Amino acid sequence: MSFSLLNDDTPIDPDDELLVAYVDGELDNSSRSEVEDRLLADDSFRTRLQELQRGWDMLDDFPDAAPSERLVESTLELVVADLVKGNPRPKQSFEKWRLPVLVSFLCLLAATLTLTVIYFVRDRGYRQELADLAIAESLDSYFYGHDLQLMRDLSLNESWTKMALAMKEIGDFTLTPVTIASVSIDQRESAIESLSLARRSQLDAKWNRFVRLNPADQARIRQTATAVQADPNSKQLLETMQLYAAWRETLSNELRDRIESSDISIRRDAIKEAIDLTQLAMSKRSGVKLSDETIERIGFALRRILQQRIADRDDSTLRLMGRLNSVTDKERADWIAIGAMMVSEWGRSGGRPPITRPFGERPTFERVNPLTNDELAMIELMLTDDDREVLNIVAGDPRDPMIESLTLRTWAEETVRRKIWFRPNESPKLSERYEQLDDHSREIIDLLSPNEFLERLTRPPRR
Amino acid sequence: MRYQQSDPDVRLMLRVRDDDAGAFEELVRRYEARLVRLMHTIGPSHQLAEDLTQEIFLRVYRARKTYTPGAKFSTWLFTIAGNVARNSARSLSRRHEVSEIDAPQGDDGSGAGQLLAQSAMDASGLMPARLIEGNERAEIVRRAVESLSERQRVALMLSRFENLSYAEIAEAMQLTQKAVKSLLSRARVNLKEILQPYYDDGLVPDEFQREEEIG
Repeated sequence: MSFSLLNDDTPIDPDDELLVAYVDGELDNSSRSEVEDRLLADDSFRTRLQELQRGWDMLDDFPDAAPSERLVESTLELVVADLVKGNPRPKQSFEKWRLPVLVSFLCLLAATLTLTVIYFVRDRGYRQELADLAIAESLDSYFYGHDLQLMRDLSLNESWTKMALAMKEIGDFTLTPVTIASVSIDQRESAIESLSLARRSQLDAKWNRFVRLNPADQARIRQTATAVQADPNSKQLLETMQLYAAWRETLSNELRDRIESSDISIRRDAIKEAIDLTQLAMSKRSGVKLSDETIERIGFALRRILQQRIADRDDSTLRLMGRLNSVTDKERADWIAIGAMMVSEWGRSGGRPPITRPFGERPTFERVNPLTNDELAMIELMLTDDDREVLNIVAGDPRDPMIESLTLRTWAEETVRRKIWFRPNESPKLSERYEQLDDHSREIIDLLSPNEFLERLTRPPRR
Repeated sequence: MRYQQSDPDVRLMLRVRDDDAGAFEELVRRYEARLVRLMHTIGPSHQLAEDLTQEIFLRVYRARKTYTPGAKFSTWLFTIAGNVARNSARSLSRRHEVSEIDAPQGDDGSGAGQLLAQSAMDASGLMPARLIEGNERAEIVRRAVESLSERQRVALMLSRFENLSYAEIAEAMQLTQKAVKSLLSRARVNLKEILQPYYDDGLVPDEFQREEEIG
């Protein structure tokens, strides 16, 4: 005997299916009645039902399960242990998401690392720029003052030190304050923000100059800056470099080359020569700085000098005064006579006469004696303490007699220039007048319209 | 709500949902033996029947907070039981730990004859013509059931021993009622074919034994 079982896909006899549904009570009333009618009429159908039912009935012998006696107890213990261990669902959930979470974490970590590296590189570049900005702030100083030995020599040179002081007091030179380099890199950003617009613009111009330099020059300048920072007197050294950078601009190329020569003797002589030239220039330039009060004081002294000469029966002075009195009033005659003392000085010094012809035709005046040292001393006596301080700065302390004499004569000339009652033909150029204005006046005049600007600059000089 | 009112097990489960340990213990006691029997039949191994039963109760307890009475409690429970049995069979299959003697037969029932012959040999030693009685008959019936396909076995167990209707079996097995009807019809026909030699004559046919031994 052999048989094969019906698997889940094997077609089933409709009668078997009907009979199974019948014995399972799954037929509706009409179907059940039809089945029962057939069972009564059809022997084979009835036999088939009995066979199916007998097989089903044998399941009564299906062995009962006999679970262990402790199954209930151990099941409850298992549940309690599961409760104590905690809800495993989150763990399963974590297991499910562990890989995506891990991958996400790694991606996040990689992104963070990348951003950190980028930030670090950018920050490093930015910090380097901030460091370079401090160098660019004193670009001229580092660029022209790279010979630190020369700078140290100058700072120890007494004549140069005096001249430098005069440059700051008399000349137009002003030390640019070091703002960026004086603070740490972290504070430089806020230091830049605190700068005025003008200072920021200057700094920007210097930065652009620095950036345009070739890398070799930039490296050299950085080296110089590092060396200056390492110097015990770095502040004084940097100030010397700044002064030198401005000073060398006033010198001829030939003189600059000699000063920056590697030959010590050539350098020493050139420095002395350049200092003398600068002092002379400042001596002459110092006249324009004189106040009206000083001019009045010097004018008073000059008139006393003239009166003294007349009282002393100085021939040349008397002859000049006699001729002048016949052609003009006494006030004018006095100043022309005083001016004649200056003419003598101009002729001697080779300088340009500041006073043009007072009349339409060339006068044929006799020469008058120039101011003597005693007369200069009389002028000096009339000076205020502030004026004497200026004289000390120009001529040095103790004063250089030659520079002192030259300066006093310059001031006397300036007095005559301002006191003369006619407008000189050769008035100062507009640019010179503009340069002579103080900072405050410049700020005011800069804001005027072009016509007002011209009118203001062409006003008659102060009397 | 219908089941909540009519099914006492649903009411117990609702108390379990409210963390009533006593209600859970009562449910375990009510269903323990039935689930063990079911796991013996549809599970991958007899040795695992009790472990799987515990796993079913553990799942029930873990799912207590999300339980909503939508059907008879037994339907819901046997759905979980079917899932546990299937998952266990898959796990064992992956680990190649399924014992041949305990493994359920394939759907085509090709091993049924060999299984029954072996059962008869086990039961009667070297005397195939011996009358089969008592426990020996129970073993023959058990082997006959195990020779059915998995789905036929589950449907048979739920219908014959758990008294579930076709609709409830369909819900537990996630099938249509028509499919359940067909499964049960095939199961009955197969049982008739397998067991008829025994209830007709009470003997294991010699031809059958030889054929299966050769086959």
